Amino acid sequence: MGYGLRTLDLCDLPPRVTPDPGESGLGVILRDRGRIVGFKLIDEKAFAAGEGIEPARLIDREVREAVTIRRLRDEMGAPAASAPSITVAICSKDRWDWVDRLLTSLGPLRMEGEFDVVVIDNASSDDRMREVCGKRDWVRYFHEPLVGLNFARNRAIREARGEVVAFLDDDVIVDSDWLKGLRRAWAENPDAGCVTGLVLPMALETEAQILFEAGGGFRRGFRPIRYGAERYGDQLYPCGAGRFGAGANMSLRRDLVRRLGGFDEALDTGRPLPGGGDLDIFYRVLRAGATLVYEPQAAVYHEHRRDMAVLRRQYYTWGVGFMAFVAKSMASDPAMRGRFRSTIRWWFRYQARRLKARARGREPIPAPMILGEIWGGVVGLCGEYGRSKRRIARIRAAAGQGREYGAAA
Amino acid sequence: MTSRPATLAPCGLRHVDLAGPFAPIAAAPGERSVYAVVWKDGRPAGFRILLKAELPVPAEAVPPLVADTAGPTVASENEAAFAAPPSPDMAVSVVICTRDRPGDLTRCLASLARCTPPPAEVIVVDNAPRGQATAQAVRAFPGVRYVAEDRPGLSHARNAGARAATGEIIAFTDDDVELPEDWIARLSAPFADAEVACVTGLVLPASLASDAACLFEFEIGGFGKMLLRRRFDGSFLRTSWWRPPDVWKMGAGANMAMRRAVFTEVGLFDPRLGAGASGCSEDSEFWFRLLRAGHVCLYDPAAVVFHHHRGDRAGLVRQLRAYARGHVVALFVQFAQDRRPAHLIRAFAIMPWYYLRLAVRALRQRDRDLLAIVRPQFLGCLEGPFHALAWLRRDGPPRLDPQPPGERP
Repeated sequence: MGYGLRTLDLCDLPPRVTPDPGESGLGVILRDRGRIVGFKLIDEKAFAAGEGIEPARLIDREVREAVTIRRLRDEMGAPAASAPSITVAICSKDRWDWVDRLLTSLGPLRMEGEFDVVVIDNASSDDRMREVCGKRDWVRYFHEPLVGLNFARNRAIREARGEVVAFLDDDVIVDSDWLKGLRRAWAENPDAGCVTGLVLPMALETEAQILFEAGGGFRRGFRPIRYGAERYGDQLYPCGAGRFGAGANMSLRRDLVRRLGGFDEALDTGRPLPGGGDLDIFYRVLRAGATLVYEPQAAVYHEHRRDMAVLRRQYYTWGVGFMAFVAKSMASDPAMRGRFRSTIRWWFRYQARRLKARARGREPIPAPMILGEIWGGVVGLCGEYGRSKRRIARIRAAAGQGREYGAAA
Repeated sequence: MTSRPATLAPCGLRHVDLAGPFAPIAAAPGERSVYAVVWKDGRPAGFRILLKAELPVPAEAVPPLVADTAGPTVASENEAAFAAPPSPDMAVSVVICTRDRPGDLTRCLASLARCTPPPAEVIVVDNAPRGQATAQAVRAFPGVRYVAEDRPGLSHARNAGARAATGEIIAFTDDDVELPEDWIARLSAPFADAEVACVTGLVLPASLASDAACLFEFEIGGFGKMLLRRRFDGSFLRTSWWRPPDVWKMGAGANMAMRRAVFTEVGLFDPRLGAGASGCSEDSEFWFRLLRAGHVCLYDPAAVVFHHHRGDRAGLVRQLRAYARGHVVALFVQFAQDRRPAHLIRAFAIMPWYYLRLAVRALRQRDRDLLAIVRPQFLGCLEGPFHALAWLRRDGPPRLDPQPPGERP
């Protein structure tokens, strides 16, 4: 049975939160005067005999701190500098209905001022993507024949008109404050090369969706974070790049990405190496000396994988993607090799701890999925990146054309 | 490596108020890091270490950064705790003990002269001086009383100061600190509560230019970094059978004030403890007696002093050895009072084990700086019991005559 999703504002809390009939639990998005300050997952055990729970129980230390930080920031006023111009880029293959849904959620944000929107159709098998974009005169449609997410992202970088390109995956919709949050983060951080945002669940209807969110989901907290090239007290920094955000909701300074040589096309290719591209660009942005900012106010809602088999596959691909990124960076960035070696050790130990926690019933993710991620990590370390590079070269050769941006060495 | 304090030096101190105005945070030429202290309403609310690679932080990015830094403190403390204190109606005597450091003393007295409201009297205790320099330095400050104490030892000196003081409240500080203008007001405000017998405050670094100072502040933890008000009473002494109460966490001798009356009741500082005798802990042993007698101590981080940490490694190593040794002697003194085995368990088992583990970590990580400061502490805690046997034969703390000095026949 699925979970319901509720949004509660701390300024106007109901006496009790109760799941509807047919809902076995709840995902609660907490807002403070409209600002997102927390997300809580409440499982069926919390609702004894059909009774609801008091919302005050959801407001823990983490939420109180997020509220305080939010209010302190608002009291200090908006930044004096204005935000750079933004191009929203959506890369998709065949999922025209999801793109339609995302464009619909972006529509109202245009009231806050015009922004450029490009849709990169990554070799869809039919014309419906073009039709969906054609319905809206504010959407620019491009067809990218080379299959691979980072081919599409590089195309978006070439076609974008804004100083900043905000990438959204096709399986998300944006929060009504997304653009505000994004603009604010860019205005507050004129030295930023990348801004990432919060990713919340769009629905928690199936076991797989609930499980993924219970395991932490894509959330990276509700406090703004400014990351620089180094960070005191973190010996693995910036090699464990997962903390910085997710590719589903990231924006990058266009000229910086150009200077860095674009996205690495050998990552995020779809099967068999469908991940790691976001980690790689976060890492390269930081190594280039630019700042990376995590801004929870720029929130999107992500449609998690609906069935368990796909989720299991996804854990495997995260393992592959992360370790392919590690293997690539160890080769391309010798200065950081020692830190990457420590990161590899840390990662396998961390997964072992998760397995142990699972055996003790303290980890929601089932052991086969964790083992799948570990196996993915092994595959990623054992030459998957090299194989992917050769594959990409073949795709290019088949298309018979050179590209403006090669895969970054 | 990014988690070794010695690599931070020279570290620049920056004080940022949440109320603004916000200037960019940048490293001055030569500085390898910056330690930002965030203030709210004249009270420290957060700390952040920024490495040179993370700097400069542009002015627009400072508000979210400081809001995030201060957030946890502001969220945990009610608004009233930040309000400026009312003027105290009690006479405050300030006692500064010094030994052959006229330069430091002059700097300290100069900062005290800027305090508003000023203290009722200032007493400088010259401890077993080797010359006339201190007496001459005091002469430059009219109204400051000079008291000589020939028996060497910080406890003897503080006791001489307490005997000479006439105020209802006696505040103690050291010659190597600088005092902010509101020090007297902030340190004496909690005495409005008749229950409070002693107030301690926060000790911030005055400078982190040397690697010894950075090691002391960030590896040892300085004199404590608690940012929340805390009330200590008899319940603090009720710990499990093997663990003594952590009385050293209650504050620092460089920033404390007591009601004069408690010295008559529980006695003065123990002359066997403290700098010049066994090493340190004369302050925490006094708090231990206070709590045992049923008194209440209040830690208030709004009362701040700025301490000049030792700038040379050799001095730091000597100081740390004396700290560990003195700590063990204090545990014996406390054991003599309440006969709880916890004190001896700490002296003979927990402390040596703790330093041994730190030493192993330092060796494994090849962290020479850590090893350099663990070694003297380990030695100090090994030699502590022998020193305790010698010191315990001497007399304990004297009591203070209930009559203020002026009223004696």
